[in-house]
Amino acid sequence: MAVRDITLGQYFPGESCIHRLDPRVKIVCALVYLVSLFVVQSFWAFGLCILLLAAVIILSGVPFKFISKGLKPVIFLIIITMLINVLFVRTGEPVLTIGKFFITNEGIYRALFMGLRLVLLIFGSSMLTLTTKPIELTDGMEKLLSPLAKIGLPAHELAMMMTIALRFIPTLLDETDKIMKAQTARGADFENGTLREKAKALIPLLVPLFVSAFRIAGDLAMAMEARCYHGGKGRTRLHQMKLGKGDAVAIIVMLVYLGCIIGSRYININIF
Amino acid sequence: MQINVENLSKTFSPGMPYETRALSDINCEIGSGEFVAIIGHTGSGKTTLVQHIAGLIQPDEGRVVATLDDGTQTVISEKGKAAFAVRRRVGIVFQYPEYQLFEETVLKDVCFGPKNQGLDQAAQEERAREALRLVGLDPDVVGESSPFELSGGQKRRVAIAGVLAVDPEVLILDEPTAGLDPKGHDDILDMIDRIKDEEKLSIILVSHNMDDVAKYADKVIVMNSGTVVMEGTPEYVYCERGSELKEIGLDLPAGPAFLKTLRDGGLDVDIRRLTFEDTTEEIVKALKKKGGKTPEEQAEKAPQK
Ligand SMILES: Nc1ncnc2c1ncn2[C@@H]1O[C@H](COP(=O)(O)OP(=O)(O)OP(=O)(O)O)[C@@H](O)[C@H]1O
Ligand SMILES: [Mg+2]
Repeated sequence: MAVRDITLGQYFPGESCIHRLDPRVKIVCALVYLVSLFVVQSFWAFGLCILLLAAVIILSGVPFKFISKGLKPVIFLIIITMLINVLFVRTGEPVLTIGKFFITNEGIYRALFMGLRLVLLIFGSSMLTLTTKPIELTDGMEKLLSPLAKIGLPAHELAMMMTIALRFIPTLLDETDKIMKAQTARGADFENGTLREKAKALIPLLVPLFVSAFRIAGDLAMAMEARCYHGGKGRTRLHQMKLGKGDAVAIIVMLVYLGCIIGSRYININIF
Repeated sequence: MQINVENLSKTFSPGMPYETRALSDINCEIGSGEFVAIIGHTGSGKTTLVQHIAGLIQPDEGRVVATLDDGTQTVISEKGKAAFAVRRRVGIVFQYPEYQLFEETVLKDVCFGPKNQGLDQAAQEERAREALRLVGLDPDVVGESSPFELSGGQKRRVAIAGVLAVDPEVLILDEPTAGLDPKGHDDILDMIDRIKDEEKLSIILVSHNMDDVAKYADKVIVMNSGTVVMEGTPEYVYCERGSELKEIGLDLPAGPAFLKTLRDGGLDVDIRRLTFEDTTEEIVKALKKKGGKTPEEQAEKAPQK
């Protein structure tokens, strides 16, 4: 059972220059990158996006096999999106006609475009989570959001909630795995049967899982209170975030990249 | 039913930086009706091994084979296969099994296994009641209560009953006494030993408690970082190879440990004694040899006040 093998949102330990970047810089760069994917309007500009991503992947030392596993859960979605584009885009030259039905070159073009965009979106965001420890990620987010605390946004609480959620994903996955095995040993069958039977088979899994989750939550709350946790006010941190040389380089690279992407909207290099 | 583990290897998350070789080339045997204990350090692969024996995970190499009493052989698990049919002959009780309870009533929860085996209502209930009685609970008293309102020790019994209700030939218990008080601890182990005899089961007990192992086990399997380093009777493992056991960071049972301290302190004792009684006898013998006296003899000689 592959409950443990979910990579989306998982950290890949390493010491590369990408890993060492300040989490705030990484979050902002990743956001800029994701937005840039929607600014892009031509294939050649996508080349730039791919180039940057490839550079980051190579520098980070995360094996490509590991990154591409993040695609698995959404591959279906991507294929459907592409199919819809191929089948329903009616503008452009028909390239394939079967009776009344036809596929246009524009449809294919758009399908490829969307597919590429989605894949890059997934890869881009997984690079952030793969190279940043969850704790760093939420710390960075808290720092980035802290100016908004003045207008009443509970930045610290939000970040703490995320930290806890991220921290307990593996715990709950382990718990799920264990309960599943235990019930399987008593003859439960989670894999076969009709949809109705499958849904019913989940009860022996979900009830203990919820009980465990509440127990863990209760224990955690108690442990936090015992250590005098009472929200974000006046808290200092063990690891102070400081921008370094690498961060400066990353920011400059990102700015150049952004310039190129925005520029690409006005420069037309026609390869099609 | 006899179980043979042959050249079993298992690696978790292969190709990842946190790849773990949990088992490498394991060979061992669990005879019919035997009480086998598996001991080893945290992370040595005990749980992984017993999950293979229960047919719940697939190995990368090797296999686990069951030889039924009529001589036929079935594979419990090998690469690409974890057998469903044999699973119910092997029951497994996980660590903290009470966290798997889910039904509204104790009786219903214990019925879960038999129900999955396709028994009819009456037969299910029959099995469940029998299993509850085996673990020392009265089905008429606790049967209709919610499993969540029982005490910790009772919950654990219910969970064990849930596995016994499947009517296994081999019962695996992964640290069944973790988190129980000393009384609950002894009760559970005595119960397991009794069930073994009553139901003619083989028992595989994963334990960190050397005294339990010395007291109950017919055979001990010692694991260290994914390999079997020793296999034999408790006498062999604790007495003959006690020093090696210490090297891999495991303790001796109280008896031999105490005798060893005495011997290191200069008393001439044989440390090859396992039980409480044998240990005492050995110490008395050694003290006598040294010219010591029993309290009765001392009382005789001492001037009366
Ligand atoms: N599902 C899993 N995915 C990845 N690694 C695992 C998994 N299960 C176990 N491991 C790893 O395999 C090794 C052996 O684990 P196992 O649980 O068998 O040890 P154990 O001897 O039962 O330890 P303990 O005494 O703490 O229960 C450990 O390093 C563990 O981290
Ligand atoms: Mg274990």
